[in-house]
Amino acid sequence: MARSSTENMITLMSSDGEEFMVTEKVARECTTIRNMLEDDCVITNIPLPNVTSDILSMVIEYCMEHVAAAEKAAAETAEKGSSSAPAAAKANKDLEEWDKAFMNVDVYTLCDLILAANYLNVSGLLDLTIQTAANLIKGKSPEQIRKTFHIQNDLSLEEEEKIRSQTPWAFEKSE
Amino acid sequence: MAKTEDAFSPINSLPPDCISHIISLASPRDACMFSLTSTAFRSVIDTDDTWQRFLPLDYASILSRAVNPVEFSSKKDLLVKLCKHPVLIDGGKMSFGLDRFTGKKCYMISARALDIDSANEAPDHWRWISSPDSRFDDVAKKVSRCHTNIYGKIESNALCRKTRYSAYLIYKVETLTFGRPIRDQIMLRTFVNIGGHVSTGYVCLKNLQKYINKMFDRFRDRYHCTTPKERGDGWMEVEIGEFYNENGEEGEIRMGLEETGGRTWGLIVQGIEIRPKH
Repeated sequence: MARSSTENMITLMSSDGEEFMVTEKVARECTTIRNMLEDDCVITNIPLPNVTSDILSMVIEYCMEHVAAAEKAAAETAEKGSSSAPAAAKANKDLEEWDKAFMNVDVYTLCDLILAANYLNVSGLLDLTIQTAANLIKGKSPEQIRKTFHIQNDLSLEEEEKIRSQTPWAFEKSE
Repeated sequence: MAKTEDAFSPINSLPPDCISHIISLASPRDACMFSLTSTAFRSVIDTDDTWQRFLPLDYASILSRAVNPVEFSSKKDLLVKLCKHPVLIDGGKMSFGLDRFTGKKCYMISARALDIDSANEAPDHWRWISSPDSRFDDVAKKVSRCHTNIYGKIESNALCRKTRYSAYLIYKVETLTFGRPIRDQIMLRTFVNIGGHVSTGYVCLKNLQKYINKMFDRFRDRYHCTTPKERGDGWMEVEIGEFYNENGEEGEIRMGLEETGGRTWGLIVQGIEIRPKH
């Protein structure tokens, strides 16, 4: 990944003390960090006490991929004078495929990523992770959802019946 | 983000608004399922904040068009009501409800608001009758052998964006004691016109398997022919066609059925329903 030498580097520090050097452009993908940089432009070292190194490295991976894709698209547009629609569509599709592969994680990692994306305010990653979590719930029975997300059932049978009777239509089968 | 224990659901660590957000991307039905997983999640789900997310942004303005004021105790109550019992709007000429699988807007255009062979001007072809199992005051019944054309329209901005919808004719075929019943081979040509993009097809109004097998094969290959379904509310429905509502900027979406062959004596039309395609 070629970078201009004049680009500012920022150090992000995870909750477990690991340091990650990233370009300012990548760091700015996180709105929370962007706001910090705008408030204080000389800041170069940012501690992130809410994010573990495992998760932070994934967030950075996501931001780098998306920055690179945006840079590539911008470079192509500049080169040709105008963006070619099929190339842009292909690039979008490639990025979607990358996102999809990136979301091939267990539910613990997924929820940690949601928390991190929420805290760091990475809107693309938040949308992606939230949608992935929603897809894991869609069309499932309560039992299947519990299994997927390791949820302990503490509802009594009576309570369960009561909820079911409030929205019987929800439990009818789809055509 | 403390390391989660095995017995501890990772979802527990998420703030309520993240959980609400996740559920809002699923469906009202999924929300009900999710609320059954544990007491903690039930209390997160059973909030106005969660259920509000399933309601269309313009629900208040649509409800202001209701014939009878819609009363509700919470956003969930409202949503459940709209999923279950569509409300009459626009002087009873249209019904509005929500799809329980997606939470998206559904409408039924009543026969009165459709353009049915100039039913109003030609009372000898169509008669208005009341039907206890119809949501509208009256339905149109055909009492002649004239050719039938039924047209309906809806504004694309009334529907949810980025959604694939289907339009259905909601009807009955009366078993007649006199006159001639709808002949088996009755087939109607259908169209849906969204922003000048027209798709066409064919439907048959009777679902006679033996007939379909015997006589329909030649049509089925040639045209994409759609067969009807029982709705479970005493009415039949047949899909007129589908369309994708991108941004709600397509203006008027028009749809219709035009008779090509047999005669539709005894056809009773409740309306045209427009709902998301699953």
